[in-house]
Amino acid sequence: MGLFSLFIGLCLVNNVVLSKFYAVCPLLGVSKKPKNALNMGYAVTFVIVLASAITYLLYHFVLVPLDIKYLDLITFILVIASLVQFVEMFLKKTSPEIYKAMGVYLPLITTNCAVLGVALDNISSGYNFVESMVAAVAVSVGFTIVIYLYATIRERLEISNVPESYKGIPIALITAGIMACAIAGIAGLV
Amino acid sequence: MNFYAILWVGVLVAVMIASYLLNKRTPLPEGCEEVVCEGCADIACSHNAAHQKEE
Amino acid sequence: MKKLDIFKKGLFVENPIFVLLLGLCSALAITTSLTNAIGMGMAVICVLIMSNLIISLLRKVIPHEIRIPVYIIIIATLVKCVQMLMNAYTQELYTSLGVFIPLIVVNCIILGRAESFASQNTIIDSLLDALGMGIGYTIAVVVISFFRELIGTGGLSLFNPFDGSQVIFQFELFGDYAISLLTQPAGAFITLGCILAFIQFWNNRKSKKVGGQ
Repeated sequence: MGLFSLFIGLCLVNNVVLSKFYAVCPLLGVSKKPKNALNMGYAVTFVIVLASAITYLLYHFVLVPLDIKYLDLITFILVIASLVQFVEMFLKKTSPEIYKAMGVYLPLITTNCAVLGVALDNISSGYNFVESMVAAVAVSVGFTIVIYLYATIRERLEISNVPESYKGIPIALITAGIMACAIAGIAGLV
Repeated sequence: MNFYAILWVGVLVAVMIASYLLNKRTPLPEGCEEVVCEGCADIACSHNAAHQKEE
Repeated sequence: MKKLDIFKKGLFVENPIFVLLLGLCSALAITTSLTNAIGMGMAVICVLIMSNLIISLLRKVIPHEIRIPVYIIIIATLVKCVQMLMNAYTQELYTSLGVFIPLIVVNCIILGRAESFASQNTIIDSLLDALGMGIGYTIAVVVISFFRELIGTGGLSLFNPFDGSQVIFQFELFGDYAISLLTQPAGAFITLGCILAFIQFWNNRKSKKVGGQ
């Protein structure tokens, strides 16, 4: 499978939020304002790409040679948590503006299913290093696109005429369902 | 019992706790104290407003 | 009775999926069939009970400053043990749940209950809370998958998790009129949205009745 079709496949067709349900909690929580959503997308991109690289290298150069493949889950979650702490510390020390913009979402990404899910999927699909990197970038670009579109739609939902019992989370979920229908229509592309 | 497994888990736990403590001890830059994330109901997230109340 | 209140709270009033909206990733993904839902519910109950028990036993020993990393380590170890046991004893359930068994680690329910309840209460209270929350999660997931499977495929089926070919019940009501959108990812969002809307409608009606009298 070529790298380009891998990219399009993970970014649009099998979009990680709308068809694999990975990052649904931040989708419903952070997407009230489009600007916040975009900052969340940047933070997630940064963490997913770094985490995929480090977990891939650790899996193939430490866990497999020492024959401790059963420690993959513990390794990945501890590496992701420490990575998030290091990135937050780095941002606090070097750039307060970026920290103010996107640093607050970093601890939220630790318990985000997307980071751990992408790392585990890379291992179970048997990608090599370049394919893992492309998959990581594709997943985060797909997530950013979806959360930005979703935030703009939710902004308009606040002021529109919604039935009484659907106000708030239910209509947000149904909107996500309609977006998932739209994404499913691109299914034949790759 | 695989010796490397225990050693590797020990290394990971040490790195994680060290990074967590270092991050907690680093003060926020000025102007950032009022930024609070209302992202989700995740109680374990250290930015959640429920934590500021108890400390 | 205070103990019974702790248990009942997790079932309906503070149901982790319908009220607290935690752990939606797994709840939406595995509700395509009733067997998957019950299997996942059992796994979450196991992990919740054991993690609450261990954290409540160790609550005086763990230093307050590093409690979150320690909880993550304990929960990750428990989830890996549960995953390996499921791989051994419930093979079909393991393949159909796939990557969502390891993703129980980042399920906000378990870390949330550990942080907010088990670290401050006694063993019996923590056990009751874990049981209540776990059964509440299972009830919620079973309700979602009931609607998705019944309307999506026109029938219901439940297989023995320990031996995938043994059928507990399987019936088909209307095969030709099934709305197969509900078995797709889009259907999961729509089903959960409609169930939450119904719950909001019920709460509004109850508060209007109380306010009107």
